[in-house]
Amino acid sequence: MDGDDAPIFGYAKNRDRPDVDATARLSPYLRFGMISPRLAALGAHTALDRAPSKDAAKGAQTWLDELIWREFYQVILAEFPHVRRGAFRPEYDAIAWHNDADDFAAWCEGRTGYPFVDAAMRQLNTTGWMHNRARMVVASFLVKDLLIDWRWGERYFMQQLVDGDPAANNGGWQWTAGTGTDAAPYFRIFNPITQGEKFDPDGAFVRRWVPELAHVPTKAIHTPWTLARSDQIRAGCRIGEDYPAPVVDHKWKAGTHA
Amino acid sequence: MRLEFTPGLTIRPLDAVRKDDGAPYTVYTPFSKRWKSHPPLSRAQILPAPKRINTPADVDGVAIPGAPCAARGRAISRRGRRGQEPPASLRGRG
Repeated sequence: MDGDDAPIFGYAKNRDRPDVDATARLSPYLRFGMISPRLAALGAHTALDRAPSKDAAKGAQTWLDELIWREFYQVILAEFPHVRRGAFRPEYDAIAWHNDADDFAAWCEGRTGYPFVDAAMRQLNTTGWMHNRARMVVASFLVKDLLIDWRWGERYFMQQLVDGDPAANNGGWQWTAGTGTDAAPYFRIFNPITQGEKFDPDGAFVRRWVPELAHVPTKAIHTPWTLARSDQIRAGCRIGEDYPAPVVDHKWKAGTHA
Repeated sequence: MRLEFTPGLTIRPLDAVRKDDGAPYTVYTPFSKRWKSHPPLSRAQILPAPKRINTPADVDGVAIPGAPCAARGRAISRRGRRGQEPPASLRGRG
């Protein structure tokens, strides 16, 4: 598509919405050299020059920023190859992870009981691709809620992703775990409920990938366990039977970490 | 035939964006600022795709095996299935 309606101009606004087709989906092509990143950068610059509005320019700029993130993690892997085995900052290799194999299986298979997390993992398992916002949420959930070693998640992503790139995947996981280049923070924890409510407000993403929840009312689509038992039955989704109860309590786990 | 090396994996060569003292950046924001301080690529800097790639005549094709991905997707969608061991190299830790 060309002209003022080119999708890149809407990128800043909608890129975080997994229920909307608002990303380029070029990652597998960049990963395997089927499109040159230089050509992608040229495209972003061309779009910047032709942007019809400030918002449109922001879309092109934000897209270019994502390409620069990709460059950044390529540099990190090349300059600091130890990140393949452990934390960028080695002192973080001392973290004592909980590493419960049952929790890990629930995460992999998309049956944690948190609809946004489960939808994302099933999207990954079914298609080999996951929306970036969802990647951040499921990664945070594995590391900060289930207290599982980020390297388990990194490995699973590499097994499943059609765009699995050692540098970008490793950088992303270390960013989430707070063991990486980012100055930050163990206290950056994504809330799987509010992330879902914010970025999948109608629950379309959840309903698409978690059909058990198809008839759950939108107000409870990200918190189906809060429905009264009678409403669960009406929605054809009894928690603990048709769809799992939450595998952990998000508030409780986040608290143990602080 | 001329052999020409070009940066292909990344937009700029891996060592092109460095701090003033030559050290690599370890934080994204200053890295991206420095990255953007370089002039944008022009089309002339991008080599065109080859018109064709000649493969040796004696290369035999190999059939693509069955589709394990599809089978796997079905298995995973069965609810309540146990499975997915932790990666072997990490098992037994922590």
